[in-house]
Amino acid sequence: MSPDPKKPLIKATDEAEPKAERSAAPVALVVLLALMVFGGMVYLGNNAGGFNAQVYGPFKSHDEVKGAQPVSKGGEALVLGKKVYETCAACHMPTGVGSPTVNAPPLAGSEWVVGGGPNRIIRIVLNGLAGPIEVNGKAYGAGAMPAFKDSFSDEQIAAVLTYVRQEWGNKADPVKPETVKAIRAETASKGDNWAAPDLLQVSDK
Amino acid sequence: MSATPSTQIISIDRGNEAPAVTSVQIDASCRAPVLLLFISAAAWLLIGSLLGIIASLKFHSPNILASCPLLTYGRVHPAAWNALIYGFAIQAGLGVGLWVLSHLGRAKLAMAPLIVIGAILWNLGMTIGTYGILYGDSTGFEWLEMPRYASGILFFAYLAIGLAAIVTLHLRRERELYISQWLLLAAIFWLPWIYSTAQLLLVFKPVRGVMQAIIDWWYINNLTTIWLGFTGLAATFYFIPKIINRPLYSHYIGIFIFWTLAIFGSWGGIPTGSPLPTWIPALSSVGAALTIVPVLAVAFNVHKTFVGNYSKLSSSMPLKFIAFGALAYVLSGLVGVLASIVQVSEVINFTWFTPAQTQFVVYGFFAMTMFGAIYYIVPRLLQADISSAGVRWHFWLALIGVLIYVVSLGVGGVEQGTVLNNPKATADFMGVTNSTLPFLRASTTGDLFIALGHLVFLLNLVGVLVRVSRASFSTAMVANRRAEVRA
Ligand code: HEC
Repeated sequence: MSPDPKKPLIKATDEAEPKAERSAAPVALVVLLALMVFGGMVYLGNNAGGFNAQVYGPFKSHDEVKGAQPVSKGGEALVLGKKVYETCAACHMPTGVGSPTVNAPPLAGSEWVVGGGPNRIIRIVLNGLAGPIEVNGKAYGAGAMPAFKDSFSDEQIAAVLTYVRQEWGNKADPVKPETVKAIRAETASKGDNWAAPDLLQVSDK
Repeated sequence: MSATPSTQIISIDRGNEAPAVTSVQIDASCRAPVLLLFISAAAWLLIGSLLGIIASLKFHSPNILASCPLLTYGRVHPAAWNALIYGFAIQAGLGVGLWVLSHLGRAKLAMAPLIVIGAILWNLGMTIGTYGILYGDSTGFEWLEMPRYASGILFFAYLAIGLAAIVTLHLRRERELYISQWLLLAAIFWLPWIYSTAQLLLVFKPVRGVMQAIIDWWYINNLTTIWLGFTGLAATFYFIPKIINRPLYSHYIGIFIFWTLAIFGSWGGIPTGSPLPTWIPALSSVGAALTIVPVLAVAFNVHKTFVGNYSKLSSSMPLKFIAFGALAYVLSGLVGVLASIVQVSEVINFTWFTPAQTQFVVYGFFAMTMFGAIYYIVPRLLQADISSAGVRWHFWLALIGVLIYVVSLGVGGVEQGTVLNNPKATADFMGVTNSTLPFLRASTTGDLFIALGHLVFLLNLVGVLVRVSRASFSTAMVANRRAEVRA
């Protein structure tokens, strides 16, 4: 390494490293930063969806997302009801058509199910059903349905009946757990299954 | 000469205790490691742009090299980009950073052998990684395509070089810190953090679903805004005052830029249309919009330093490169802020605008700044001039190339986005895509200019090296002969 003496590459300034003056930063910069931060906050207030993890574009708030969600009459009850119905499906079949082998009548389109209020079918599920019964003009009676009052809670019974009343083309109002609770209390002393004629005495509002 | 020392460049005479280490000695300590980093950077740059041209050709002439699986678009494009970022940008940045750190600290470069080992390892990792991508082992994550057997090597190579940089800074003799040292120190620590986090969460123990996209975007933005941004700005703030021989206008603005970029700049990068809970892209665009403040501050600080001395631009090629880089930083920064506005990003989303913007930052700002710094440093390391015609050729080729590329893809992207957003036109997607072809052809021309510039860059560096080694060989021969004659 022998520097060419004819060309002194290293000038005096090479030994001098740059220094910075201590000129104050202009206030305008700080003001601009403050304004931008403020604007950013406003923007986030309007566009960040309240920092809710469920809000995706193009929606701007959780309420908007909820509003755009399709609502079903039964809501969450339908999910629970479908689960509980697995028990019923053993006799009434998953499609609600009933089963000739155990003489279970259909639930799909049955006037007992969609005919009026839920007063009678709540009683059927609570205490079971035996004896002759006519469903959609056909006579049944050779089989019997067990009681479920000890197996299912009010919520579960309300849910499964809501499900039954809204599946397979059935269209009837959902069943409330409070109604089940009231009827359970009313019929607490009944030990045996219902018979169809007795049920027909019960008002179906 | 020191009436008001605070506004003067503090120079050689610090009383009678002359500095024990001169610039020449510091340069000597930098010679091997820094040159190694520069030459490898230049080589990867050329490799990257050759691969880049192949990738760019495929858009309008898809049959070219189509029968060779190694050279299909999906492999060539990431290989080219990785060569540009990891092969060139990071090596050049580290070389410039090490040189600046040792000079600002007025101390010799520490642990030079470790840096040489690190640089060799890094290039080994790059070679393996590039082959890995071409052979189809890409991880599939943008900017992180290199397979894990290469990324591990890169990580440790970086740690070795980073360690030497930190030790150099620690052993500095000039205790007072200049803004470039702040920026470089932060950059040195930032990369291992983001690189290991991204590798861990994407490649080694992958997170699920859209989280992957978030992490990749975060990584890309941090690498660009923070690593490239800080390293590039460190050079801008060092070399402009150094070359025009005036102090930097304001230390405080420098610190202001440092903190605002570190805090807000690191949030950006997540596109507004992305399939994420809205608060994430919303926060990200606020971060990106806030960077307008540091960008304007850079413009202000550079201008105030220059003012009255703009004429010096004509006398120094390195200064031209670096000033162009600073201009590109400010312009691309403003375009980036514009692009963070929802109404704008709805148009330019998923168009050619995005690569144009990235290229503007990576090439227009960072690479140009590095070229200037390298052309300033190398003659001092070798005590020999680089052919000034060569440097001029490089400057104009690069300048024209980057302008053609950025403008054609930028305009093409806006047009493409406008047509795409028109519901009637979207039915004819192929038609829209075909209409971008003229812009793509223009961008390939830009690529060609850039690549030619890179060839000139490599030749410039190799040329001066060959001349210096020939000269020292012949002086050695002459000395030998004289000794023989005397004997
Ligand atoms: C063990 C088989 C069996 C199970 C399990 C069963 N049922 Fe029944 N169900 C019957 C039979 C048999 C009848 C007809 C009884 C009769 O003939 O008197 C009937 C009748 C009915 C009726 C009135 C007639 C009609 O078709 O509308 C309803 C309502 C009803 N079941 C609902 C349910 C619900 C809800 C469940 C589940 C919680 C259920 N059943 C579970 C066998 C069953």
